[in-house]
Amino acid sequence: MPVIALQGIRGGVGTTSITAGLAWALHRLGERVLAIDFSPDNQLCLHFNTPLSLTAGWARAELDERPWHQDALRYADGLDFLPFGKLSVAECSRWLARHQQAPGRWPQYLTQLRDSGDYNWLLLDLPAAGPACIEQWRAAADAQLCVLTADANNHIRLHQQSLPPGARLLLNQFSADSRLQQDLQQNWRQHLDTLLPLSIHRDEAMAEALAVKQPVGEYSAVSLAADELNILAGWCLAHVTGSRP
Amino acid sequence: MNWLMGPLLSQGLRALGLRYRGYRSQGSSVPAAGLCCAGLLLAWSLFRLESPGWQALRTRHGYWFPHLAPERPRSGDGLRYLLQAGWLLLTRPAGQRQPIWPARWRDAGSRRRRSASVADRQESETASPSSPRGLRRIGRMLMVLVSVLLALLCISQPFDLQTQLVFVMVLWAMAMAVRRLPGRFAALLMIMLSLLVSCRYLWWRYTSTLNWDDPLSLLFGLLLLAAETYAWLVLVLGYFQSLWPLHRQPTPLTAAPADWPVIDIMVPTYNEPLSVVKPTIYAALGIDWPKDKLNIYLLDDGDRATFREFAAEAGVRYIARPTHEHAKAGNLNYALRQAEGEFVAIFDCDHVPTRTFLQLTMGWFFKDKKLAMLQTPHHFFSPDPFERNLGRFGQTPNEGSLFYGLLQDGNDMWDATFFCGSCAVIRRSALDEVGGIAVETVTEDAHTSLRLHRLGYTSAYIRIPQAAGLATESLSAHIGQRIRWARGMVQIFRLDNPLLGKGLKLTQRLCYANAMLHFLSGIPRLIFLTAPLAFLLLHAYIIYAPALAIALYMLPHMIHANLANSRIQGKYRYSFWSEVYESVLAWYIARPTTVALFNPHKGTFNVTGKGGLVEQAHVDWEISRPYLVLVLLNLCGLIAGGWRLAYGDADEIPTVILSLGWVLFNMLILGGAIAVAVEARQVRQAHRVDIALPAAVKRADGHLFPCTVRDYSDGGVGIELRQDGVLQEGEPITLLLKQGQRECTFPATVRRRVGTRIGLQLSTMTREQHIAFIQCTFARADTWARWQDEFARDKPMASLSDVLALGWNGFQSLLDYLPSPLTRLSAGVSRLLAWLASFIPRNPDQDMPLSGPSRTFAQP
Repeated sequence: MPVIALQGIRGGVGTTSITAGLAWALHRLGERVLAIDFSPDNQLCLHFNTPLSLTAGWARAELDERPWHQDALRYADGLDFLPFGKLSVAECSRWLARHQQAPGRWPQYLTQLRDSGDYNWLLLDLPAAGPACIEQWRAAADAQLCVLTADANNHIRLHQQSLPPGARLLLNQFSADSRLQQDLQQNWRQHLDTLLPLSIHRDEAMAEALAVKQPVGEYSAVSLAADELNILAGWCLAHVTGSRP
Repeated sequence: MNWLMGPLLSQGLRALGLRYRGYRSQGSSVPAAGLCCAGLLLAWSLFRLESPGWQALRTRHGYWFPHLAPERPRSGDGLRYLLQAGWLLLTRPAGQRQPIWPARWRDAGSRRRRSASVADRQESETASPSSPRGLRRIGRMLMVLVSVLLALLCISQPFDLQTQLVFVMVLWAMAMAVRRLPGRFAALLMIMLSLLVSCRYLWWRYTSTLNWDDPLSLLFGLLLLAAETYAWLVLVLGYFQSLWPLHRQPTPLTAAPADWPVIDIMVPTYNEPLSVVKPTIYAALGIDWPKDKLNIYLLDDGDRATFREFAAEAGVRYIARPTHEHAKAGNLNYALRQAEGEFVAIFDCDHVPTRTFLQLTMGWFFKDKKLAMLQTPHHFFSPDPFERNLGRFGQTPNEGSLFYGLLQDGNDMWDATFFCGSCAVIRRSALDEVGGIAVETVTEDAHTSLRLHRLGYTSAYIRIPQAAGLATESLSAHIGQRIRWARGMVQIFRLDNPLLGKGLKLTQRLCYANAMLHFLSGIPRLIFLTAPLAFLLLHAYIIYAPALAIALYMLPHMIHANLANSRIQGKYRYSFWSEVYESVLAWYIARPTTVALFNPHKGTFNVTGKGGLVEQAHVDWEISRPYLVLVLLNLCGLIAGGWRLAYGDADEIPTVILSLGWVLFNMLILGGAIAVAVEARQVRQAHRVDIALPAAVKRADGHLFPCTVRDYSDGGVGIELRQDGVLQEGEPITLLLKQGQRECTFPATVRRRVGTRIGLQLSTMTREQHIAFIQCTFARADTWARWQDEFARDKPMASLSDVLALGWNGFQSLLDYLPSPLTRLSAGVSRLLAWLASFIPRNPDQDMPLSGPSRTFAQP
């Protein structure tokens, strides 16, 4: 069961949309997928048509001393997702404090999931910045995709931030109209061998998909973004294997 | 019950009405559409048409019923379906036909050859010290001697008619048996058989068919014999030339890019419009080679200010010379004096190179230091006059296919590749040694390579199209170009005869001699076209033998030559098409070649016009006049033949029938020549190129959709979307194309929409965008890679009926353009014939792909 961690180089580059879209694309290829939201923003579930009022989630469950996996939801047969859960600011810091006391739980959880044999793929939607435990979650993954957009901000970040070892860069919201984006893409293609050979275009369908609370592949199967996520899913099938026992 | 059936019934009626209107809009008549609807109703009520069996049949409708169009029914279609179904049931009981040869046999030829050659080498390496080499050689010589003697015996032994019949039947059976066997051995065997039969025929002709008693018969007999000897010579040399095509592959560039040589790309132009030259220069700018080692020269012999400006804008060098002697050769030589690169690549101004041109070709120059010239094919993405006027673009290999597909590859085997004036790389040091491009003849290219060969330099040919251009626009321009080639080659034959002089290997001499002899075909062809008339009109015994003997000697000669040629060149030229090509040219090259043969210094250079429009369909009367005269002559022959049949000597009847057959064949070939002279309308200046290329379109509202580019031209693109209805006609969009890793955007407007097929017109592009567009399309490395793949294997009989039908159509269109009551009569007769023929069941095409053929959207 390969585990893929998706994380933006910074917030707002479209990581959660890609996680939902990739989960849908893998699901369409006949894979059984579980997408897990690790971001306190708790937005992944909104891509799967949940009401804003939904509070359930694994962090919520932990806080309420319930089993962590109880709040997982089924979007389609073979496509499940586990929200982070709605936490107030005070609750969030309480959860964080508890979390830091017992850090090693997620590797256990993943082993449980693996042993259950319910899923072929696990997608972890990680926040760009946040608690220190991100490192642990990330380390539990077989492959890491770092999502970024082609702008100067991210170009600077590529110099400032050190990428986790083995992470692959995925270019999102690419627009060939922009000279700057063209040049940055060319530059990265030449100098970064971690940049994935495929990129995802800025497509209005992607933006509209969240507005109707659907993964982009479901909302508009003929859109270029959906097509490119299908290619990404194909890439994952070909290149990501569950190396961990 | 009523409430349930009501909506269903009305729905059914609506569907039927829709179908009926669809038929009508496709041009079906009222009774035809009505009958078809009624028939469908009947069929749906009697059969379970939605079952898998019926579905399988219906999805492959075009395969099983190739002559019937379901979207446009005709009145007799019911009968046609029944007849075709009956025919299919009779001829094709179940499943698909097995290949004739078991797979084991098919591989055997090539495998045995490979293992034999390896074993051979090992044997000669290991065994040579122990067994004396001389013995082997003597053994081999003895073998050769015996086979030559045997062949001589077969050729010269006179047979009576029965024995001859048995002899030719045996040879024919052998040829038919090995015809479809793969591997070179079978081809060699077929060539051997053909040579044997043809030599025997010629021997018989020389020894026993000349009438020495009658001067008139002797004169015509000798003329025909001379023409036949010429044809035999060309046949033999042709076999030699295409015996063993080399199929040279590109070789890697071994040196580091820093050590790669400086290359000058030269694009000579004289009077072509700038729009033709622009794509070539833009594509040349994108050729993969270090930018500091690549100089692009625009050689403008027209000395035009617009070209000078364009060159400055595009950043290429511009050279215009003060004088204009020696046309293209002089233009190149003038520029060569100013260029200093180690190599020069030459492109005609309309040949758009692909980006890989130098990467694929230069490796051989690194590997072979004596290599002076490397040629790649001339590929044309617009139809030549033959293809356009006969409507056969993309269906039959064109006239150039034989030369660039097979003969140049064969030449390469003998190190005798000709320089063809464009799409080639030449080593400067070698070129300077022969004094630049040759200026003495009007085919400077072949003459230059001949000189390079004389100095011992080698040549190479890579049969991968690395550039494509426009074919000549009209038949007269095409003929003008061929006249120039013919005159030039004959000039070389006189001034610098490849058979004489120093420095050439025998094989090279033969290859050059064949190329030159080929252009002398004018007079022999005219003799063939008129020979039977000598008997029918003048009663001269041109072949002084009984008709049966003529048939027994001549027919095997023709059949074997056709079988062997179909085998070795079938992929590049279909059987009998040479007759049409040569007949069209015969009259026009007969005079210039004869003049050049006696006075090689006479003659001027004419430039081949390209990229023009033919605004209205018309018959080129001037071009077709000689053929009309020949047709009239043959008509007289037909009448005389009829008269001879009715009132002539009864003993002569078989001879008359034979002659009449010959005349009819000649007439149909001439009809083909006339059909070519009917200039079809050519409205589109920018020719579409078919391709399958992933791309995307962006709507103004920010939505993007993946699509496939199906065809493009310099200004328009045809795409196919995955779903219908995402684009509207007249909508402005952006097209996204990939150029390697880079993605380029082009503003465009939706012009046509048929289902998922969309025709885009590109908006006016900036220079950068135009460069990017050329490099995304024409200059792609794989653009022309499918060259030669699309043609099925030659089927001689099908090809013969094609050519004959062509001749018939030629006469028909001739009558169409003649203002006379005959027109209506002939139209009526041919419509009747076509109508009757439409009932004939036919065999599904074996080579047709499973999914029906998809026509280019942009070429309606």
